[in-house]
Amino acid sequence: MEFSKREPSRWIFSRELRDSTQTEGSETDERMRPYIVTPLGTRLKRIFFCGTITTSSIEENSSRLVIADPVGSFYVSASSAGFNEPVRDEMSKFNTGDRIAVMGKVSIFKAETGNFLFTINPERIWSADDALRNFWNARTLIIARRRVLAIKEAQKLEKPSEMMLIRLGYSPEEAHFALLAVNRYKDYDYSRFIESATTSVRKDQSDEINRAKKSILEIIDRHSDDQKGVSYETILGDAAAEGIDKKIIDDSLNALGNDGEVYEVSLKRFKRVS
Amino acid sequence: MVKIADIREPSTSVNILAKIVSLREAKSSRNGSESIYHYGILGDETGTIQFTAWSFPSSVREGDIVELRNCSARIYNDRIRITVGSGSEVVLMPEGKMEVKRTYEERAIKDLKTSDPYVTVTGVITGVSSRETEIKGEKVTLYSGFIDDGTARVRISSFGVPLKEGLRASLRGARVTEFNGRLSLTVGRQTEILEASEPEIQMSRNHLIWEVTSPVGNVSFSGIPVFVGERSGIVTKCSECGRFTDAEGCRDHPDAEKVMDLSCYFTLEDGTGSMSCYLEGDTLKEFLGFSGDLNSADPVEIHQLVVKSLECIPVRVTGDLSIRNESMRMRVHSIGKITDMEISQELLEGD
Repeated sequence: MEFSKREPSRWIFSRELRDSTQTEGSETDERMRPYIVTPLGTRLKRIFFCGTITTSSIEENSSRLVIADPVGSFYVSASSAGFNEPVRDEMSKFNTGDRIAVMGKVSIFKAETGNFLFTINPERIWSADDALRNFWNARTLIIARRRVLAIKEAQKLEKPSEMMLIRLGYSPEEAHFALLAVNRYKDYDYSRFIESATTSVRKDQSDEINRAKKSILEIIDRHSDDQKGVSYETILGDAAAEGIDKKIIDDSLNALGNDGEVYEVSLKRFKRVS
Repeated sequence: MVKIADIREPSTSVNILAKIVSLREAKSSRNGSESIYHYGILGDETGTIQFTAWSFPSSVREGDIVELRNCSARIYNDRIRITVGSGSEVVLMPEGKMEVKRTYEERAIKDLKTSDPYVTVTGVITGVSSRETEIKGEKVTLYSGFIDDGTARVRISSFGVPLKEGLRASLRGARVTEFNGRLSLTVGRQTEILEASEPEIQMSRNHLIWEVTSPVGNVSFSGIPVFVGERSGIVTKCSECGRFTDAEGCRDHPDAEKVMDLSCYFTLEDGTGSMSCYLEGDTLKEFLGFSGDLNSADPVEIHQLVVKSLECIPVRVTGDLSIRNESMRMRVHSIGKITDMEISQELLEGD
């Protein structure tokens, strides 16, 4: 059962949309947007994503943004006509380098080469902080991974059916989407897709570790005692107060040790290498 | 004759000798005309299976042994079941006797469905209460409570069989029903309540929206509120019944005092689906960090505070699901912002 009658937004990386070559429904009926069926079997009209503005073009009649996520870019376009206008005004408040979240419907254009090009018509636009970016990255990656696992299970079966996949523990929707993908994208390189998405999201996370390393060095400098160094509990307390979670603190302390920036002067007491 | 345990794939011309374990009647409307059909459970010494009969002899009762000829085995709602069609024969075996091997599949509470009505559920029983009631002229004690297996929680109703507070138990052969838009389990004559002996397995009640398809309780989702209802903020309620009031007051209690409270509703999306959520009272006040006096608060400012605190903020909500007007919604009983730790754990999932 769908929880709401409104078409929910799907969370996908830009590359999943860019690699899409299949649609469902009429491509010519202006009133009805066709569904896009992506290589991972996502059937969508509306998406929600988070990224950083890399290009901004705000003009009187139309505005365009290019928004980078970990694996590529989304192209957002709004005109001054119709329902887009309030969102277009909102778009003009953001600059290149700002991080934003966008919910919008996907428009399809067929290039002369026959390839599809996709533009997002924004319905809502928000400023995005680290928490939103990290959550969107993590959740979108986990959904993509689960879809790929279901697709790979379906590929192993001689006559895959939704029931077989449900019995393996996939949700009815995952099973349905997996079969859509298997039937529509026979040669897609799923392993490459997941490897690329995982590496890119992790890189974003390693940027977070770099920020945490800087904070930890400042904490050590602030509390440093020439003889004893700074206790792990003090670092944990101060860093947590800055909103850094324990796992990131531990990873960052290990990284600082490996970098030769700090050392453990005694059990669980850290000092900066002078 | 085929044994029930051997019926695993769809097939036609199935002949079985079985006991009618349960038999119910229902009405079906097709093309404007109503017809009656029967459904229930068949059993033999190898197991049990659900059946649907579009024509069925009225003389057959629960507990009878029957020979079913020319039936078909079909997949319905992800489960195999026997269909007794117009070309099938049902022959009553009056002298027959049969020991039925009860087989009920173990289900996680979050996966319960009314289309799979007899199941085994293992969890901790809580909130037990009892009252006397009358069924067909006989006095019976009705025990009510909840069972929670770590994935979700549902209400249990037990007619005559006591429920023990705090017991970790397996309910074998409990019936899944839906009442007032919520799922519940009924402990009936065929249900066994056994103390669970195997060690408890830690299970998660954090789910993706596409994983939960039934109105169960005490489940959690993490996602982003994308729309906050325009009437979210300060509301007035009837001091007698707690329902929302309009300018004229409560329709049922026109003389009752109106009290102010905070309430909000929003659409939560998690990348796999969307869900309507409702929360109010202290839960909402705590989340907003609001401790002021609602009587002197500016409604517009409070509405803006609700929107600013919720819209596009990653949150985890825990609550009870129910179905209203064919769509599922959650009454939220706890809400909190998602921590970096939870995001890191999510990233590690599937590694």
